[in-house]
Amino acid sequence: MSAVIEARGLCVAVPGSGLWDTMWRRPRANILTDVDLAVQKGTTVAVVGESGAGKSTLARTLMGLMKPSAGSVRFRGRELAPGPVLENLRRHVRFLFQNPRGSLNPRMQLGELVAEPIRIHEPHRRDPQGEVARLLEAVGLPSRFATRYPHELSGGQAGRVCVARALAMRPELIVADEPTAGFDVSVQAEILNLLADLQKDFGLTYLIITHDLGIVRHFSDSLAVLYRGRVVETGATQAVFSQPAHAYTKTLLEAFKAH
Amino acid sequence: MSAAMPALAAPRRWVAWCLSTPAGRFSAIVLVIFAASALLAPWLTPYDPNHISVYERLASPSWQHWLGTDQIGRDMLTRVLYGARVALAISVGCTSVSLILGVAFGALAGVGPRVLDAALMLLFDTINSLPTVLLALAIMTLIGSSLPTLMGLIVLFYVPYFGRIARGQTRVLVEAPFIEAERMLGASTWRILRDHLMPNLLGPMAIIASMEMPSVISLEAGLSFLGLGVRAPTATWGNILQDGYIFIRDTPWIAIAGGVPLVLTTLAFTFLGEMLRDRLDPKLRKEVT
Amino acid sequence: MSAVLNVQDLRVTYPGAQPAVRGVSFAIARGEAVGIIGESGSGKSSVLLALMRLLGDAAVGGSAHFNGDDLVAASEECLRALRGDRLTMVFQDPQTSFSPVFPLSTQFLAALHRRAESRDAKLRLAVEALRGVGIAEPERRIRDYPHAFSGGMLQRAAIALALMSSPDLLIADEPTTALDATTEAQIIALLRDLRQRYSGAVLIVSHQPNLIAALCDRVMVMYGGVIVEEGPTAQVLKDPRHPYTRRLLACEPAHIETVTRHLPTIPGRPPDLSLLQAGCAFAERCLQKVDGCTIVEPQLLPVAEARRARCYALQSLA
Repeated sequence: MSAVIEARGLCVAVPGSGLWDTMWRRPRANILTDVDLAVQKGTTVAVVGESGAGKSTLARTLMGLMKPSAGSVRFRGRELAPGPVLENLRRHVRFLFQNPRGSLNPRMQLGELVAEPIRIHEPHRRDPQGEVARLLEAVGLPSRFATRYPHELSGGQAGRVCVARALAMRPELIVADEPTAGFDVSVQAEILNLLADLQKDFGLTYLIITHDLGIVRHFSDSLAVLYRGRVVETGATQAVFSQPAHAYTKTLLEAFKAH
Repeated sequence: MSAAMPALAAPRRWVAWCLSTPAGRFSAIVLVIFAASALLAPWLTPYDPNHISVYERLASPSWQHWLGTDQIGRDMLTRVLYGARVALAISVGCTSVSLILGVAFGALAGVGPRVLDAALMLLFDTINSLPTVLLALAIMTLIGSSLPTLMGLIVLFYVPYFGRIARGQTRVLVEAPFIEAERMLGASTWRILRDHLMPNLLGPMAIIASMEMPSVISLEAGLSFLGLGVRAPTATWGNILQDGYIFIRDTPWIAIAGGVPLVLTTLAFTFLGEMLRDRLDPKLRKEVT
Repeated sequence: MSAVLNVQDLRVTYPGAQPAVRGVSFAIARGEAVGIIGESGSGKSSVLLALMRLLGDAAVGGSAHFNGDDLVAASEECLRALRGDRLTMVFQDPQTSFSPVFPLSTQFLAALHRRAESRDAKLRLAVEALRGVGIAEPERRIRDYPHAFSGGMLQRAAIALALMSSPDLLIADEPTTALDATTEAQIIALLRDLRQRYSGAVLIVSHQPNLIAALCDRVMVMYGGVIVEEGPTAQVLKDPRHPYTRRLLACEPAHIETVTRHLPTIPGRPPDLSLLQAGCAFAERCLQKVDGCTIVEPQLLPVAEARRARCYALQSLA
């Protein structure tokens, strides 16, 4: 097994916002401190933590949207830097947003939206429409949806469109940021099942960022607990659930079991 | 917001929508007359707008001169019709040029590096802070007043206005999740600008532009009235108003001839702008859950 | 029974003949906590909005008597006198409960404007209310602006504001949905604790069964604009009877004991209420459907002690 994406000693700091801070490039605060994380091919890794722990920053840094102030991100063993490695990452790694409807351009039809990744990475491909229909079918939407606009969709359908879009070009890794937050439980179950089925069919690797331990328990192989910008515990999901080592993990699990 | 797109594809439905309210019908009638008189002025009247006829000076409305004549005997109706040309050129021309430049600079400031943003904003603020009339006075004195100069001046005033709004909108859009989603898909900056930012920016900007049309027309009229606009013999509504102002006690029809079309046109543009806003702004549409 | 709120045959229809609530009746006794569970489109939010009279141009039918005043028909003046005093609300997003341009103190004082006490006395009352919801150093914090608070702290403040007047009824719309898991647990614990001290009634709407389970004495499950099941919370959640409730509760990952990658789902979509056929709204997706289900909608009838459900399959057994 090899790591698809790996963070080593990752630190991320927000630059100060004032003019003075900008001039001296003074960092204001560390959001992530010394984070190590490896996502093995074909597995699902969950990053757990409360809001403000740095979960979203971690995802953005792994996607190359934020620059680490120290440490490195490696994609397929090569250090992430602007240029071919980043392009490679953009092509093979997809991001699922917390708010599926918001991540769709309201003025585009679904067919165009799902074809976007193909148009971006293979601009010479003649007819992406067949592929679009296949992708919509893969997520359980009829192909006539291709001419609809995002505002005509229910929340669950918008979630499916985002998954279809993520599947275009056969990605290797999908990073999902709270993929079912705000969904009804029955819709959440549908989306999670869809993701699990697609993992089986396409050998996908997932990095799921969530605060919902119910999802973590059922859907992840291993997990990393993020607390105040540091990874305080990692391990196989079952092991961590049965024997949490860190005090914070214990609090989290107690809150979860109290439900 | 996106509901506007299919609607745009159906001009018939737009016409039907426009005629669905009294204000819409009023606007449509006024603007059609406005556009027709501007485009067809030479064919609608037998007179030349600058033809002087001292024998007929300050004539009351009659069958020969429906709206009477001014102090040097020029036919008022002809001057009003030709004035519409200037008003149309300025309202449509200046607004669209200002809109295009404003959106371009605004979007640039919104997505560009901080330094560029700061520089453009400083420039916009500087222009905005100059008193309109004084600046017009200075420029007109230096270069001389003419229609192109006036139009240039109006564009100069409106680019910062549209630019500021476009910049704000762009900043909001750049932060929008769907733009970030595109970036994460690997879309180039150019692609994001062209396919995702512009279509979402132009809709709201077009509404604002249509609502600004009346003030652009009034600005021309105001500057011309003060003698800072188009040079005297050219027929513009502002010039007519200025002529009428002098003789308003004895021959009020000159001021009325210049003022009524001005009021009607600005009203029509305002109504239309408000209707557009109500239709295109998703926040004003009630969502059914 | 002395009901603080008595809702009879409440109906909400949105413009364009879009029904959302198709006849909901329930009563809340003094001091009772009642929850409404439902998915989006079930009509649960429309029930709340109708009670708050925040529905704009939707048509509202039926009645909702609150201490004798019908909320559906009452005048604006009457509502103004009730709101923020006898009837208060907590919203999903605490940011929307407070104006960002005033410190909390101003907003707490504004809520007490009807009282005759001195400004200092009102401020002391507000500080005590904040202390009661677990905000440390309330004397200092009350001078802060909303942005200085985290989401969880601000929701605590919103709860303090809503309970300050000891209302007869507190209405909460998804009070923890905008918060993360640990904060959510803290807010639930706080609300639970407050239930001991505060004697008024509570109506909570949520799509999360665990919130209702922790806080409510009685629960109503909504589907397709009607109540399909109601009863004591513990019983309904442990032993759901209506097929919809059973399937809904089965979807929640936290409730599934053995680890699985395939969660139960409810195939099909919630019905479009403007195209509703005769019969039960859930019939199309129901696995226990019998012939009668698609002909006449079942009534909400007793299925056990203090429990009612709207299902033929249960009524034939009972």
